[in-house]
Amino acid sequence: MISADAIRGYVDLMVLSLLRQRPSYAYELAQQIHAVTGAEYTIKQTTLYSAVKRLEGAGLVTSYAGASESGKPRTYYCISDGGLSHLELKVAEWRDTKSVVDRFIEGVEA
Amino acid sequence: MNVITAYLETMFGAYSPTARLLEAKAELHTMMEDAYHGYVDQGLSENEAVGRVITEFGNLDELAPQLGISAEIAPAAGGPGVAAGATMPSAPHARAAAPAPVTQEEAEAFAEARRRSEPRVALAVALLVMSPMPLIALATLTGGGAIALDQQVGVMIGLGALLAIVTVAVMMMVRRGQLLEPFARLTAGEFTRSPGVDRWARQLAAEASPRRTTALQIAIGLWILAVTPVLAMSLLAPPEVTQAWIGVAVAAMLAIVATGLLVFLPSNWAASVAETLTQAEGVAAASDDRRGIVGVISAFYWPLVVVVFLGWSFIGGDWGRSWIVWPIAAVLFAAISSGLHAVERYRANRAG
Repeated sequence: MISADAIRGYVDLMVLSLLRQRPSYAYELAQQIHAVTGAEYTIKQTTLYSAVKRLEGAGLVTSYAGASESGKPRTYYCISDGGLSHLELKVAEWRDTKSVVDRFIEGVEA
Repeated sequence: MNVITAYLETMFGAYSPTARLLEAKAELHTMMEDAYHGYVDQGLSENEAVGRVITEFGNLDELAPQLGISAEIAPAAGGPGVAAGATMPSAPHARAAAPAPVTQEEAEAFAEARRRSEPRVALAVALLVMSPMPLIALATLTGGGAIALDQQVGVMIGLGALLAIVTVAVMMMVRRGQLLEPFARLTAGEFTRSPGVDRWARQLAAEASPRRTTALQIAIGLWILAVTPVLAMSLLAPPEVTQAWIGVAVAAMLAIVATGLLVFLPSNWAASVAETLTQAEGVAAASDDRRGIVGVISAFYWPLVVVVFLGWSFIGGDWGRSWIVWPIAAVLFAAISSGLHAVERYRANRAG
């Protein structure tokens, strides 16, 4: 089970990488994240919502009003060009982070 | 479903309904509805689905920056879901006072300094114990006529020797104090313990422990036997010989006591280092005295005996009988040391 604190900095990366494939709405994003993480991490709704709103505020994501198949109004999110380049930065940063942390835990039994 | 709506109303109820807030509430409501239907489709009961959705809601704190309610959330004590956040600011202040932790390097340097300086301390303490030897021996030898010397002169020579030996011992102690000066914060307990150093120090003490115990047993044996020269002379020698030579027997006794200290004290450093390093926040200073209690007692005890001896001898003018102070002091010392050793062993057994 991964703590919310441990993964907080990378929720943006997760959301952007999902939106890179296609525009989506909040619940679908939560579903997709759950499908990938399984039981190891469950994203809270407020965490996800604050992430998309933060990304929208930074211009990395745009939103438009859509509707579900049953006609219910839904906000769809769509990655911007700025979002794509930010995703690349975040991915590179994660690779560095992972490599640095790995160097510290070498030889530590877990 | 009504439960979810009511839950959101409660969560958002504390804040003024701005456009952003209403938007967030509506979108979270949609998310929760979707999630609810998703769980019901998976076969969960309505109650289970509602419970799951509310568990996965999260915390409004996270939305504060986006919703522009940071100001309301941060200082509010009664606001929903902020109790945990409200206590945060005080934590760094409480920690600021903690002293820097002891490092492995520092600990090893300290242990090395103690290991190297301990024989010197042992020698200094032994010298203090032996310092009255010439005085006692000369006072009775001259008094009893075994040496053709005026007793006053004998006492003067003895006192001179005593002062010289004490001076040397004190200088050795001062030199050792300088050697340990860089580690003042460790001995004063002004550091935070660190688990790695703790483990290392305990192992150090454990490795040295068998040697230390053996040394202490030998020393206690010597301290108990120390009184035999005096007893033998008093019981076996003719009275006129005893009167002149008893001082020499007492001096021999002091030499045996000092030998015991020389055997024991140098083996004590590891235990003492471990005790200093595994105690912090000001208690180390007190325990530092307690751990080397035999060493500390001998440093205070024997000078005190010297004072009693000199007082009795000079004020009472009774050099022929005042030597009796020494055997009594030696027996008492042996008794105290073995008593402390027994207590220590009892504690160690109980702890182990």
